[in-house]
Amino acid sequence: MQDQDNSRRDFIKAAGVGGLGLVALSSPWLKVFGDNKANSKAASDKVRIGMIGVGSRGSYHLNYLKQMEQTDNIEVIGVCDNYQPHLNDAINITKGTAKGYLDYRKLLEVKDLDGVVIATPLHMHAQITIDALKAGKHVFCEKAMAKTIEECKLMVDTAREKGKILQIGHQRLFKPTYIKAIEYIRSGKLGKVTQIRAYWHRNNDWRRPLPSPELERQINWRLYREYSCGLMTELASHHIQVANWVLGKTPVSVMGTGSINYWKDGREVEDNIAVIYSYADGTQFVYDSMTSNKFYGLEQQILGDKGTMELETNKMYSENPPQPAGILQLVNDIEHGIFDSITVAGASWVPETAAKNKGEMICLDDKIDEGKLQLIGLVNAIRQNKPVPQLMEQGYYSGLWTLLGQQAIDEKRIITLPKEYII
Amino acid sequence: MIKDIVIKAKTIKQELWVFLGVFIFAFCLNIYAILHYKTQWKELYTHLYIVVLLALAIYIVALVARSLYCIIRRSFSKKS
Ligand SMILES: NC(=O)c1ccc[n+]([C@@H]2O[C@H](COP(=O)([O-])OP(=O)(O)OC[C@H]3O[C@@H](n4cnc5c(N)ncnc54)[C@H](O)[C@@H]3O)[C@@H](O)[C@H]2O)c1
Repeated sequence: MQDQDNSRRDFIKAAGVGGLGLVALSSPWLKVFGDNKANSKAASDKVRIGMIGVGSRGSYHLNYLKQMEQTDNIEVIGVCDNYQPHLNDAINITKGTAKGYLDYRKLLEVKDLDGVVIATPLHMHAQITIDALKAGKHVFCEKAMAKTIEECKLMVDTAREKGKILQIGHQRLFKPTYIKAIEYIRSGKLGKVTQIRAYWHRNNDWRRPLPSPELERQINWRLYREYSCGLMTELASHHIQVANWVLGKTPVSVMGTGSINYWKDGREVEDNIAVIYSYADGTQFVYDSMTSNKFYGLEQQILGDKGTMELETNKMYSENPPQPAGILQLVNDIEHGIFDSITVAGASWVPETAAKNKGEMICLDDKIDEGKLQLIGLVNAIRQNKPVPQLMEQGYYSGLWTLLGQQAIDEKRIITLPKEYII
Repeated sequence: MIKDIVIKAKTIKQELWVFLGVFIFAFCLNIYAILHYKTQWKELYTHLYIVVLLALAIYIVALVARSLYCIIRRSFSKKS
């Protein structure tokens, strides 16, 4: 258990907080690292995990879980995938220690299985999650939560009814930069935040190579509406979750637009989208995503009247950066006075282009991997055998507003949240 | 044959006085800058290294100018 304590300590250090008390209000789920008292399982008891869906993201989780077998006293006892080549790869990752399943329901029948990690395509999230919860297992399900808002609600209701943990894979909730940033924002460092902007730009067709053409829909499920909502559920859901977290509330409405204007290759999901979420106090979250230009990549910008944060790149800029020492300013002014070309008439209009100050880092030590931390959090929560404060809610409202954003795009109208979906 | 260059003690003393003058000038510039740009008084010591560098730069420029002046004056006095 020494290693488990170490990872917890490293994390608290990296997040730059003296103790969890400081972030307890803005990121209450981190209490899961503070409370080591086991309820259902002693630290010496193994936590037994099963993996369902071991494609790209699933194998990433599986690799971490295998590492955690050495450090966090867990055991991956089963892996499941309905695509044999992926199942074989996963069994190889476990060096044959985990049993393979083609049908997830068989894995759920295993008695001493404590929890499952689900990384299947979106359309299967709800069904597998609900079956797992009903079988008495704790669940970590990848984002986005589900494909419809009804499914999202049913997942939450089932988790609450069964008293089981339901964690959605929004790893930024465990990223030291984000935790530190939210703490700064709440302490007023950015002043009043009135807008959040985010974008995720790529320049590729988002397709994966096919072993044979009939596997198109199975492998490239993201491109078809039967399985996914494309850019909204697969990418935007992350930034929607962060926007809600930053503001400490959820939107009241969303409007949006999208189209297929570049990749006319038979896909059914948009290749470009733009959505605007409005919050009760008039704050906006403006988001766009495209797949035919990657110059700006991805970013999430928090705009306050005292400063700006760029979370993806761990940067913070003050609206009034500290001015350089007087002597340096004097030398600089003299230099400009001598060498700058003299304008006959002063400029009557100066273009208000972006400020160019270098800014500072939000978090000095951000090397720790949030992908692994969220799994350590899951294992801790399973040991404590109680839902983690606010964690499921973060995943729920992010999933919900992601889907309402998609609805706004589809129906070309402003969408509000139906009251019965407030939890 | 290489000629030895002899710098007299008087010259060294004189140059030290010149440098001191230049340093005081640069120091005053720092005071002026702090007042003008409304920055902090602690810059008097935190940015002393800039003052020293500035004094050195001014001293070198002044040295070059003074040397040129001497050379020109000497060549004129030789001709006359
Ligand atoms: N949090 C993140 O940053 C992040 C990153 C990538 C993917 N994801 C999420 O992870 C999930 C999986 O994405 P991916 O890129 O790994 O997709 P993938 O296609 O590579 O993997 C999905 C796997 O699930 C398997 N599968 C499908 N139906 C199944 C079923 N009924 N039972 C068992 N296995 C089944 C598939 O055969 C495949 O191996 C998605 O929800 C995606 O949004 C999250």
